[in-house]
Amino acid sequence: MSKIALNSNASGSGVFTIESPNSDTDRTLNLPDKAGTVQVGEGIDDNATSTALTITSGEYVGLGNADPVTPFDVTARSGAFAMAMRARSNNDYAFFGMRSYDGTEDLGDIAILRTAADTGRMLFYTNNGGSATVKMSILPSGGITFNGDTAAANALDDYEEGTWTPSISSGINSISYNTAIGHYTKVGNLVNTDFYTRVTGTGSGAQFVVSGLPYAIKNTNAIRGGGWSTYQNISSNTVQFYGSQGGTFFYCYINGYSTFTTTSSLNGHFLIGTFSYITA
Amino acid sequence: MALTESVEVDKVEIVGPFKAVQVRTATVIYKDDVEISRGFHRHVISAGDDYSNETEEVQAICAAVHTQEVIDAKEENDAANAPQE
Repeated sequence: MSKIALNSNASGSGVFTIESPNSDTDRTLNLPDKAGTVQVGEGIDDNATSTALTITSGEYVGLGNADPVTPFDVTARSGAFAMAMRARSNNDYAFFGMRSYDGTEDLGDIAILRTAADTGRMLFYTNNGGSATVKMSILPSGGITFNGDTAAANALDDYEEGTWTPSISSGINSISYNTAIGHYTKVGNLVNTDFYTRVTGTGSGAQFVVSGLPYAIKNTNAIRGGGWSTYQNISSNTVQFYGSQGGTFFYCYINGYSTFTTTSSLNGHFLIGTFSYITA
Repeated sequence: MALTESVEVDKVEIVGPFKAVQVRTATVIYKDDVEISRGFHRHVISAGDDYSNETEEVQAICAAVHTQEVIDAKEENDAANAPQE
């Protein structure tokens, strides 16, 4: 026959009471059928001495904190992680699902798919009627793809804005700049630039070349980029820009294939335009 | 309230067969030591370019990657791909 032992503590003076509830129904307290200790009241209710787990009178649960402000509120301790989710047993997906109030509708999810050791693709699901499907992913190597695409070549992997300094490296002798400023926006491998130069000097008769692009043009045959002047008062033509493969400059043309040159004296003349290209 | 500015090379990339050295310079504004603004300026040093005005770090990188072989290959490539008139 199993036995029940009630042990007092020789050092303490408090009286511990087992009190029956106000109920007409019989209750049974079952002890675990394995080694261990059952402790009640520590770290669980709102006046507990431990903050490992707290349940407030408002039925909020706090892990690592004693004052949860949402139904489930977890606080990180010394490490960075407040919470971890593991992949299921076949080591592929770990899902965080968001559902309708009654729990029957899978409205959207975030998941990580383990594709190899220390490698994971993050997946974002939404539901547009029926089942939630992947609408956006972050590839293990970085970059965002859409609608389940896993091709690195299609990943949007960079966005940056900034400035660059355009210089007219050919076409004008004794050049000085009243203004030379450029801006760029890089989306993926596409660089869109805008530049504004106002110059003084003497036309050399050589083809105008604008240098100083913020990224090198991709060194692939038949990739050149292009653009045009949006305002210039050096000639009456619109100037076309043609990039240097693998370089950081572009050539200036007019009327299709005629080089843009001048031998005139320039005094505060403008060359303003846009140039777009693919970078490596 | 104290506003301070810091200008630093915060990214250097070596790109392509001709080892274009892409340099990003960040201008950071701090208010009471808290960053409130960060802007970028970019320039590229191609093989054969003068890099004597660059930071020591960038100079060291250019010296390492812009070998005479790379400079020659870049010049050859530029000549081969120059537009036809």
